[in-house]
Amino acid sequence: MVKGKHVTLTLFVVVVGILAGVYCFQTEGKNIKKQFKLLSKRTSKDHDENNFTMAGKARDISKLFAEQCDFRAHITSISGSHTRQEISALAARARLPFSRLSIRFYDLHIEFSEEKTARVTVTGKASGTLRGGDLVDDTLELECTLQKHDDKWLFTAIEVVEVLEK
Amino acid sequence: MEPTYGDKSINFCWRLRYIFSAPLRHDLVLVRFAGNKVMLLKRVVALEGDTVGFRGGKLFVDGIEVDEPYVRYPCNWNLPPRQVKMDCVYVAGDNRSMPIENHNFGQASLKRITGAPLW
Repeated sequence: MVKGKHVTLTLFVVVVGILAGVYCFQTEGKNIKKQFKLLSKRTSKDHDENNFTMAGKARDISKLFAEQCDFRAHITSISGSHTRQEISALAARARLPFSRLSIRFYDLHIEFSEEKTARVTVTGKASGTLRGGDLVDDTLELECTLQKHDDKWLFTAIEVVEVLEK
Repeated sequence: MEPTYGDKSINFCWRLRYIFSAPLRHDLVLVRFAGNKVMLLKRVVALEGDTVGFRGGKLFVDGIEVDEPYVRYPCNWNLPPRQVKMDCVYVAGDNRSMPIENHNFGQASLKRITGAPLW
């Protein structure tokens, strides 16, 4: 009878442990997805965006990044390590030629490699209209690293994956 | 992929197409990114081990000019010859009227070939 109770208790603890693990994983996954949603919202641009909103968005974009973030891309001008301030300036410069811009993320695959570190593979799709009227439609695969700082997942590295190698 | 497929047209992906065989030259394939929600529709122009390049808008594979009846718009691309890596295929779109630097083409791993258009 006592042995039976021990088995039941052990099973209960194991089940609770698994459920807690799944819950934590899902919660952290949701928090990471939220960061991508915020990045999408803050990088996107409407026709009627004024200078005040533009400056605010550029500042808010940098808040999603760690103090230092590494960019690796075939565009050499943005490759390297950037501070939050530099990211804010880069974002403002990149959004400037657009009268309308939409950035969306698809197919997020999240892996928790180390404690408080997540690697995310994602498809990023940018579509918009340049001030001259030309349409822009580009898709990239990104490998992002996020680290948890004070309960917030922040981008520490972004690498553009070369899907089609010329 | 104009003029073969109209921009923003709807199609379906036949995912079983390359389960038992590899893509052949001139096949239309779907190339995936991080997942299956966004894909590129491209044509296979060279296979692994081939040397591929463009001269005056014409495709050359292993030094021989390849006839491409599906390319109907004028093209002036120039690309020095390069060898396609193992387990890769070289893909390009049919619409080559834009400058080469604006076109999404190159070699893709066979792992990224998700299937072929259903029609």
